[in-house]
Amino acid sequence: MSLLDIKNLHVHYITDDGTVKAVNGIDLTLEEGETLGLVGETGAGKTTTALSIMRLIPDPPGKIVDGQIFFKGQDLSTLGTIAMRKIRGDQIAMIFQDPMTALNPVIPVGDQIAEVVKLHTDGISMADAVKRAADMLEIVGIDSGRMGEYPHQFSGGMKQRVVIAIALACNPELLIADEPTTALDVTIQAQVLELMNGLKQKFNTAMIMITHDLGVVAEICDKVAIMYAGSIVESGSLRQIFKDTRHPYTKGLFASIPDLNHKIHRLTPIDGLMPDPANLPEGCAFSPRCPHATDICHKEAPEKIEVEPGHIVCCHLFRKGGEE
Amino acid sequence: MANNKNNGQTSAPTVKKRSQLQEMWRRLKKNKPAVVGMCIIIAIALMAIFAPYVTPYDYAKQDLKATFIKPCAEHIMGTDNFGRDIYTRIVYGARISLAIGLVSVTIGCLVGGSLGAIAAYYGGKVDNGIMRTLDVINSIPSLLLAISLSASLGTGLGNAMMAVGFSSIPTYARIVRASVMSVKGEEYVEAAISLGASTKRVILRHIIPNCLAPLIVQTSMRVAGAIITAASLSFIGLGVQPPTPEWGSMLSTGRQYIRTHWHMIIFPGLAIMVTVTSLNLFGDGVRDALDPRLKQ
Repeated sequence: MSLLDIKNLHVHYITDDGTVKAVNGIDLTLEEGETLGLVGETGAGKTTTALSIMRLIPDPPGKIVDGQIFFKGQDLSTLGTIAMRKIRGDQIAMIFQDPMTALNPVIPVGDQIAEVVKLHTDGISMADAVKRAADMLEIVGIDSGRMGEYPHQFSGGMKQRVVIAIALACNPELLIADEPTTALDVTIQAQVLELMNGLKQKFNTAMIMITHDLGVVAEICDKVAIMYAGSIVESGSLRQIFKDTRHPYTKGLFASIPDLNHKIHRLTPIDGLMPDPANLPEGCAFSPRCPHATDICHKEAPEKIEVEPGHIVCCHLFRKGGEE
Repeated sequence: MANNKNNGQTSAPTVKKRSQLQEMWRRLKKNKPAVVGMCIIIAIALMAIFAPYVTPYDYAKQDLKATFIKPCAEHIMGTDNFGRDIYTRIVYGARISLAIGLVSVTIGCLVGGSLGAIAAYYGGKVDNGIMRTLDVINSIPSLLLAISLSASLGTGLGNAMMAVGFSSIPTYARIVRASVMSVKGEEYVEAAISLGASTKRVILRHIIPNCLAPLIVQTSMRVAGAIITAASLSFIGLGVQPPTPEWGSMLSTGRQYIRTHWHMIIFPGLAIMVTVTSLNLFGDGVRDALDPRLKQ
């Protein structure tokens, strides 16, 4: 049994101005200790996917309209509020994008770590929770003497370490990191990634890494799923995606990254913009921008095709199992 | 080092709590007007508590042979139309004014604050229901509302507190609602929910402490406002009843003699002004001192 198994998830934001189809039928599986990179442009539905695993979609307007999310065999999409509360922070934890705002400014960092420990450990004394908080701070490389300090006394990278300490304090089986390094500068990014990688291995935590940075993915992920307009267009192992890129969108993504080995004057971005998720085109959502689009692409939504074991592409080009 | 660390861990909570207060106190001390305001409030409060010991006369005792005495050594603020010592009455009046201020503000703060927090957190229909009801209350001028409440409930100290407190509920609800709405959208609130905190915990521990600054300022201003409203009620005869000394009713009596006996109206007026100003200065100072983002 997989740790996490998402089946045909559909999430819509139902507003007065129309229904925004943020996530349209995605399937994901994650085994224990594995790291999945969820890659896509802004607005592709990455964060919505993450929030629906946590059941934190703001409702209204958001709604999981279809699909199941199995976590250790339990369907999270139908779980009650209180049962869900026990899972959040304990078995599934989340790291937010901006460490500057993810910590409560009026509570010392030590207390913020101790809080989650206390919430999820029955009958633990405050002293033990504080001790655990101090240990966690040391683990993420912050002197435990600073646990009485407030978030504003820490730098951005240090704050993200605190956030990581909070997320890992209860030893979750699944960690969802929503662009954990986007708000940090490059050198700090590297440090934080290294720290997360080390801790992930140490605690054998499975992780979903949400990012739009393929460099981050290459560094830390085992599996990759590329999202476009609420669907996963291509997924597979890190090697399959990076070395054997199939989907035109993924190819476009790689083409728009500068390559150190070749001297080029201009990058080749993908033409056009992502469609408005409130008004998705018929057929394949990528077809208006796709250089290989044919008639069928504008009419029919493509099926998921397994081009090699574990490597799934959602594109008409591979329909007969043949190469493009 | 290891020893150090252990010390830090075991004593951390107590050390931290104390240092937080110390930190606030350190910053408050730098704010001279706030310190002056605080000293005056403490002085007034002490005088009110120990009123029998700091006053030479009985506040209700009339001495018709000694009416309208100008301030002199025996009666430092003079006497009123019944020969009662005005200084004594002002000191006793501070008891009433401070009590009304504190109790009515507590009523308004607790009721209004909870309503505002609930409205903002749940939003939608709950928000609409609560806020529109409060809008109706708010559409009545607060003094008029206090007057009509006093008139219908009857005069007296308790009812005056109720009336003043009730009329401040909408203001509190609005302030708390506005700050809760802005804090609710913060990522750390979402983070707290994502860590499995219950709704009650999220509101009480993560949202409310971040809304305290405007609430504290408002409270200190409102204590001042409540004192004025209560004085106004007494001034028109709907608040505390004679012979209980109340600054507002003293003003009201003094008004009749304003042309001939200035001291009867100056001193109660000064008492109100000094108290209200000190409260406002102190409130501003506390606001600045409490905000950890202003910490150096």
